[in-house]
Amino acid sequence: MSFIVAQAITGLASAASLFLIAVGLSIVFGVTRVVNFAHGSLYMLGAYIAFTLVSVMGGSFAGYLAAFVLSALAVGAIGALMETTFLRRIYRAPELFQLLATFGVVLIIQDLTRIVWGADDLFAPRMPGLDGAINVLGHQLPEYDLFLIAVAFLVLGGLWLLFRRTRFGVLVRAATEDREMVSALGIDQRWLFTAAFVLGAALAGLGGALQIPRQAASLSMDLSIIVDAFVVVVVGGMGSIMGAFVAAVLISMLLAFGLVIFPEITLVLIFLVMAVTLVLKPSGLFGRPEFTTEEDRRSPDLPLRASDGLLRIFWWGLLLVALAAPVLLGEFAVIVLTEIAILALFAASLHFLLWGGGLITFGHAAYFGLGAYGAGLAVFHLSLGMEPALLLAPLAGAAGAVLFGWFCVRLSGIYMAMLTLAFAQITWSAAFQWIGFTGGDNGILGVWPSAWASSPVAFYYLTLAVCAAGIWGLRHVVFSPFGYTLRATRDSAVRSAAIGIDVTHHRWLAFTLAGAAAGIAGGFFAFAKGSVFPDVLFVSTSVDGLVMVLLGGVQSLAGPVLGAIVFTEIETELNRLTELWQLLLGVLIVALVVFLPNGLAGLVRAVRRRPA
Amino acid sequence: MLRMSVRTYLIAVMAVLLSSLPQSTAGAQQDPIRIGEINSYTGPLAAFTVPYRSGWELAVEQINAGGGVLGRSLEVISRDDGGKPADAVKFAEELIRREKVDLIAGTFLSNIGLAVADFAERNKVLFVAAEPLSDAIVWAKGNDYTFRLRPSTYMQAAMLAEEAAKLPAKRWATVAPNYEYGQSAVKAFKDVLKGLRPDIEFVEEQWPALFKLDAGVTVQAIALAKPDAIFNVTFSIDLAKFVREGQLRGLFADREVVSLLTGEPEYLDPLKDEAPEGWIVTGYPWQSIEDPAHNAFLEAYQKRFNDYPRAGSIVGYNTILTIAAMLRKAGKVDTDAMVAAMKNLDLDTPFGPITYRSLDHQSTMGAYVGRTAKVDGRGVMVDFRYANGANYLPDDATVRKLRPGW
Amino acid sequence: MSVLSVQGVAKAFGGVQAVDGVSFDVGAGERVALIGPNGAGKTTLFNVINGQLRPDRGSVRISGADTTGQAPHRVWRNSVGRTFQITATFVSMTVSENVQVALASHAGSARHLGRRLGQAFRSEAAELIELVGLTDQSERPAAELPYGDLKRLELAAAMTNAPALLLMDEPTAGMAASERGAMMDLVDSMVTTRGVAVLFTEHDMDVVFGHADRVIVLDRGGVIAAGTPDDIRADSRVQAVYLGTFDAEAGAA
Repeated sequence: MSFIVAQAITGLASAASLFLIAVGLSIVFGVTRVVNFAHGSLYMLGAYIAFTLVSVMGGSFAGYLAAFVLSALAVGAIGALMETTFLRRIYRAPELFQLLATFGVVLIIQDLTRIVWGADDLFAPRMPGLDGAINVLGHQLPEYDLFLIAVAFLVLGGLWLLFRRTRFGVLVRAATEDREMVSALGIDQRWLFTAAFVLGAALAGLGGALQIPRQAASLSMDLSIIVDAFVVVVVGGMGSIMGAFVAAVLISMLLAFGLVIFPEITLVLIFLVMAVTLVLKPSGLFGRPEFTTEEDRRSPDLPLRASDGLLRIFWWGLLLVALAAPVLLGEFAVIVLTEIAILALFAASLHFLLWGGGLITFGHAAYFGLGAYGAGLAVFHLSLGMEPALLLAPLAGAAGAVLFGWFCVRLSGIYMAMLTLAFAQITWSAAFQWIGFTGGDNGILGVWPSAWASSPVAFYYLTLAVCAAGIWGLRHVVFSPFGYTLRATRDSAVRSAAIGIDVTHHRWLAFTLAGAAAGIAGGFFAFAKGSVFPDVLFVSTSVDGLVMVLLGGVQSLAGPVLGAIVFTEIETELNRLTELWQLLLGVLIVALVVFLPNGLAGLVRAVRRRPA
Repeated sequence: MLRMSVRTYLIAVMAVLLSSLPQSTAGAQQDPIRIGEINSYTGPLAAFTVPYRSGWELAVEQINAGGGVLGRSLEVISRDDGGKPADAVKFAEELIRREKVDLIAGTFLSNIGLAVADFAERNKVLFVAAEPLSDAIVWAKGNDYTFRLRPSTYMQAAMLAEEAAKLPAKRWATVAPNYEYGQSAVKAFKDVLKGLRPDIEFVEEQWPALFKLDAGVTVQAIALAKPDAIFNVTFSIDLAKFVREGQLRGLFADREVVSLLTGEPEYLDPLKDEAPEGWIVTGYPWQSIEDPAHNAFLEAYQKRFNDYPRAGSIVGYNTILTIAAMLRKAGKVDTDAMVAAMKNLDLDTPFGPITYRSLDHQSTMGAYVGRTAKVDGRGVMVDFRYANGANYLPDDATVRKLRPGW
Repeated sequence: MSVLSVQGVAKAFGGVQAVDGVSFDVGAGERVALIGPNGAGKTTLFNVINGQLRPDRGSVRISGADTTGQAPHRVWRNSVGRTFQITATFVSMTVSENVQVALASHAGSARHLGRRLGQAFRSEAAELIELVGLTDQSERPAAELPYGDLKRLELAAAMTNAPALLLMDEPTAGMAASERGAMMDLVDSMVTTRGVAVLFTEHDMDVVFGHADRVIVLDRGGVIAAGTPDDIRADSRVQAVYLGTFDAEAGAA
């Protein structure tokens, strides 16, 4: 009994931490409808700034309190800078672009933080006055835990007052509940959005600063917290403060007691909670269903056209160069081109969903990774050769897509993106932790091509043949009745249903097809690298795919191929040039979203359309 | 106007990219021996890999100042894998195919070490795995072309199990990150300890996700089982949280704690004045090793970098020493000759003489085992001894069973 | 047999009874207008009939088949065409492609992967496009069409499965007064040449009284009157609850 009480209080302290980070994310989403991936980075900055402040001002009780407040203000100011410089330019962009742009900020802040504070973990001293423990029913509970719980309630109460009693709060709530209303009221939206973002950023900074007396400031804080924060926000309902609170408590309690019974399951548990919530109550516990019309965020696409002269030259020229490459470009180029061919198919399968079906997936790595693991496990457990293993890869990808897709296609927009992410992360967790089957972090080795395909050139031609056929096949599907019907469901789901299309089912089939194509790419990736590791399933793989699609241009069939070429080249060469490649990649992503939303293909198109 | 500036920008980017395309690296005056090196130099792992890089840089400078090896200087061509095994393989390809390196060295994460080892086998190129800990590198997934320097998970766990067996504690709890390293470490510790002390029982296991330790609840869950002693494998930010919460909640009062790697400066120093006292750890007490070879290294390192060495620095330094010794023994830069020379290679290092076993390609480099203490508000190791790696490996018959090809 | 038979349909949201026991029939070739002030339950009832909402009680039968609570794409199989208050078309397709996709769906080939859609159903599509008077526009992207033409395109798409029943939610909403007559004349021609029955909601009383054979008046979820346009004009209850407030409502809508 006493254990349960002590564990519950401890769990509540974890909940307090989680709430403080999640609530800002939720407020920002509620007002601006932007899912800010960089929220975790702001949290990390809060921790680092607080560390520096405590070091400078001396770690007295008052010094700590001042550091908390000043860090929140400083991060709020950084948030203001971020919002006014680029975020406000992308409010009207599709959700996925926003996710990507803020992910670019994650990369930028990560590298800048390393440059400013170094790579070592920074461990601040305990907070004086709250550095002891008190005895509760025979258990020692840290005083600071109780302080954290108190702060969480203070913030909750403060936000409640702010939102009920001030004009700003009323406007924020109005914007959260009905976007149109605010503009109808004649409010300057720009001011409101900036203010809400600064509030959210300051809360993230506060959340990070408050961690300093508990844990070290480290460069891995950003991504490790952001996914949890997403889960809390999604479970609680996007935009709901109370929801964030309840969800934080729910998840922390589940973890606190779950790890006594199933110590291994913690990583999967949190995503399961999210998946179950989204399936049962898609808008979260306290969220409202989203009633945005589908079209409003997208400038209408042009009708499909068969390739015209220039595009034909592009495709044929590309194929010729690809065929001649081993002679022209040398050994290493063959390796890079093999990777490009694989990633082009991966990007094309993602593009097929995004552009062909308007299906926003942030977890496409799942199907790529399942293909890779399907092939790898076939070699490892079944001792199959390359040919049957490569046949298994699309089946594995498709099987995953059938299972996950069934849930995901029932949602739309950002909720769908989050659920696809959750499934991908569950798959990653399983691969990472289920060592008996997947080899865990040590992966699967010895995934080598058959003898006839073992030379880099032979394997390259095999890869090129299959991947090019795959890309051509996807392109063909776009023009088929199936593809047009999918496009129809994207353009207008209600119209599609009214002409007899089972929208959910059609999307599910598209998901499966894309999963199979990504699976093929994954299978070849496994044989190209000779090994499979869990990181093929990680969110960064999904992001790479999205960057390729975005870089090449979403509104063009050549986009993903172009994107894969340029992205792989940049990644390979930047790395040789500089250790700041992560920073540069982040800048590239942000610049793309802001200046080149239609990608390179869009740029080509725009240049061509201009009168000479 | 906007479009113009975008174009200008793109042209500038293209110009930079083009100018950076690989210039032919031929035309070297005296043809240095080219060593391809891969590690995770960006992201959170930089804290571990940057001291390692300083270590190998120092060794390369010293060797080249002394006239190089076989009359040629050493050149290291280094790549950052960003923590991704697939990228590590890509750069391995680049290093052998474009940069034409003579061998490959490096890696920190076990999965990257394994990926490059697999690559080395497939491409028949020598790989000196510097830092990855996984036992699989030399045992389950061992291959002809891969040799590993650092004492493995098993070896370090065995060093600690030996000390643990001397304690009166019977009821043990374990806490380890839930991935291959954590699981292997716990298994090795349990196996060796139970072999030495059949009366011991393990009453609680906690498996927090890596870098996501919820310290308070984990500490309470361990305390609930009332163990006599704890075996800890968590490290880095997880360790910091575990130490602070454990101390606050009295978990370590009257309990022995045995902790893997915690004595390495990389892990001990960030804890500052909260470094735990009295834990039995493996590590690197650089301040207090009384050995001329180490002193020389320490002096040179501090002079060169104005910083003290970490455990990674020693590993980086020894990696290059290994390669130099191997080249001298081989007499020529040829993969078969180099692989043959790696077997039973003896060399002197700041940790004393080590040997690369021909049995499993593991070096006998050891680690220091001792207790943690606080001196001047920072954690150090006291009462330590050097545990020679050769003494913490299973007998040859067992190794032959573990390693394929025997 | 009536084309549409609504029996005792009721639907509540939370505590609000949006539709409360509504029954009526629509016969073959009949044009029926569903009117009422805002909040009377028109949209709810419409959505129950077309399958977007499942009623709490009651049934909907279309050409004799029970479609109660079936999803819109299943309701469609009973030869139902639909247009929307805010036009719903496929903006990234040409006019012809919009109709071709619908025809492909009707032909059961929406999931075909083999051939390109390109020339399939071209001539059938051209016929329907001609019927609604968009032949000149057939290769233009739907995104570029003026609003009135979009309404016509919707009608063409709705006719692809040779419907026995057309459900039209505010067919003239958002159109200039001059276009409204032409639109409804087009609908009338569908009724006469193809024998389609039409159920529509409408705010414009000129359209209602000029183009409906029968009018059903809803108020607070219930039917308060039903009959010919002349009957409805004369009905005092309708005048009391509805017509008196209509002008203001129309202005707001």
